[in-house]
Amino acid sequence: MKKKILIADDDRTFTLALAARLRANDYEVISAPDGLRATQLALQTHPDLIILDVWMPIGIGLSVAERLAEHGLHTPIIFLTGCKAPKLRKAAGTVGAAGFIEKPYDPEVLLHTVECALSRQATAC
Amino acid sequence: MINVLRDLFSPAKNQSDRPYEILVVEDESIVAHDLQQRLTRMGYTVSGVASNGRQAVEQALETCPQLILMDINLGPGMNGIEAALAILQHRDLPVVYITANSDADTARQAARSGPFGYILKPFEDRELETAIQMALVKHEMELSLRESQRWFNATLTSIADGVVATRPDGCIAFFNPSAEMITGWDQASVLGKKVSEILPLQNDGTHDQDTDFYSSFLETTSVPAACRTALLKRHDGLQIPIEYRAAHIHDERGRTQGKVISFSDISTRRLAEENVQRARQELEIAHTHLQHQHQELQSFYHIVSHEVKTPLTSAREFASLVLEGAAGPVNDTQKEYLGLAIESCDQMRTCINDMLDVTRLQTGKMSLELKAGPLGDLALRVLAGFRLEAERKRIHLTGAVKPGLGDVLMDETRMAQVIGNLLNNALKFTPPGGEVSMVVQPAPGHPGQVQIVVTDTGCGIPTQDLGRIFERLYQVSAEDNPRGMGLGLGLHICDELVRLHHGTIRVESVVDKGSTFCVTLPVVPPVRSLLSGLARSSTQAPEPIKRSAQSQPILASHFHANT
Repeated sequence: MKKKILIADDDRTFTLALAARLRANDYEVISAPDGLRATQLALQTHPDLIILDVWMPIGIGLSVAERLAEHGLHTPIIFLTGCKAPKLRKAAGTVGAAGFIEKPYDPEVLLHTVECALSRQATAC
Repeated sequence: MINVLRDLFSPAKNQSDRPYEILVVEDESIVAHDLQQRLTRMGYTVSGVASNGRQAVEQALETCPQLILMDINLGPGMNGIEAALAILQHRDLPVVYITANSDADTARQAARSGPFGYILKPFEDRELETAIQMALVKHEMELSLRESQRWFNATLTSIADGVVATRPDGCIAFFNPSAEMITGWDQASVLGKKVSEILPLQNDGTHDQDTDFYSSFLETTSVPAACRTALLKRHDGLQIPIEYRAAHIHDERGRTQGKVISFSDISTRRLAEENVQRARQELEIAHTHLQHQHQELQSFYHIVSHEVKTPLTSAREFASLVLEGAAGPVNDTQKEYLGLAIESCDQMRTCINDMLDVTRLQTGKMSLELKAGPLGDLALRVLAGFRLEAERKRIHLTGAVKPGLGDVLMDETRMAQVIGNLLNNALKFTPPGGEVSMVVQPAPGHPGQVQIVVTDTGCGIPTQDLGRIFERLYQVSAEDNPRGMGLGLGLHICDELVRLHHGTIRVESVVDKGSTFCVTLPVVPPVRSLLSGLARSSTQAPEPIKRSAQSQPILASHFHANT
């Protein structure tokens, strides 16, 4: 069965490209343009992995992660960052980030990070 | 004292070494004759003998003697004192009175004519000689004193600064023509007036009365301040800026005899100063404005670059997905075109990254994460990435790492960028069939340093361009190199990055033969390298050493380049 990945990013083109890349690698992809919709979609569909943009409207990535944890959803989360700010990474670490992808991403790095996050979840389960 | 005088006037001669000429005024001919003889014996010349007052005046004015021996009682008509006063109106001559009368009234009368001596009949030669010599000395001194007074007066009158001198009571005793010019007062009307009335000074900053100056200096004996500026209210009520200084006038015993104030009109200078000040303010405003614009431009540059980069990445990603067949089967022509589209995206990405790097370097926001590591390994990894392109261009690409190299403290990403840039340039400017080689070796003659030498057999760089190729936006003439030239930022970035690594980059080139670029970097001392290696092998990641173009390290730049 295909693994389901939720992408939340306000950049439509970027989201489409990322989704196409993941679909080409045999993942099922759903997407949300903001934090609120991402939270709703995650709670409804229980994806295997969530890729969250750190900066997006109606709920930045970190707050989405916190909200999901409050609802008992412990899906692994990969954060998309525009920079390698260590403070941000530290903060993301506290909400249980499974990985980071820097924008613009290298497809190989992306797929590797996704695989790692999913396999970690598999081991955890 | 007499001896001294004798030395001065020995024996009875003046400065031009001629005997002093003396006019004898005596109504009794026997006495006159006796006097004449005694004077001649003493070495003086008797210029004439007058027996009455009128004769005395005539002869004195005519012969102009150097001294007059004047009997006070000259019979009927003018007496000696009257004759002396008449002569002194025209000639400045020393007069020595001879008289048999020693009454107080005569002495008082004689005193009115400012006599230089007074001899009572009968007298000895010695008394006569002493009186004459004293009179001559006193007269000489008076003359010289008067001369020096004239000189000082002329000096104070001539100088361009206004000069005002006061007596101990603070009233004006001297006021030179320049002071008249500057203040608008004339000397006659200010003499005897209080200086504070004539020179009302206001603080030029606050326009308050400068009472401090008058109370602290003029009314006391305190040490005056150095040169000050003030606004002076002229006689006509106009105000002018002046610069003034003041001093106490002391006599030889150190007693204060008054004050002297000198001042000058500084309106012209003040005007010039104000113009300079205004110009400076305008420059400052312009500078701030330019700085602001520069910052805005840089910020704009940064945002635009970043905003362009994101959709560009998406475009490349879509092209890449289609090329990989993710959107259905792709034929060979489509593959070729998509490949070209991706290549164009990559070129554009390089340009944007270069622009971002230059902005970072300019603003001092380029931060390096320095770690000790082997330069050779990194260089070979970078070189491997160019194999395909070299094969495609049929260029023989070789890489060699000499043994015994120490570790180098470097930001691997940035150093890879430098090496990649040099290799890319070498391949770009070398024709098919040419050679590009990279050697990593200890720097010859520089222990503790390591070199990366990239040599090509390309078109070379003209001598006149060699000194400028590391300049920002500099490009070797595009006519010779019609192919895509990029922005002319690559070598500039290399130079700056190498500099941030405490290294140097230099170039040697011969047109049509090829170029050699050489990057020299310091090797980490072995102990530090060992420590760094230990840290790397431990589970705890080593804290990277940060170095940025600014003195204060920037923890993270906002945008990650080189992606």
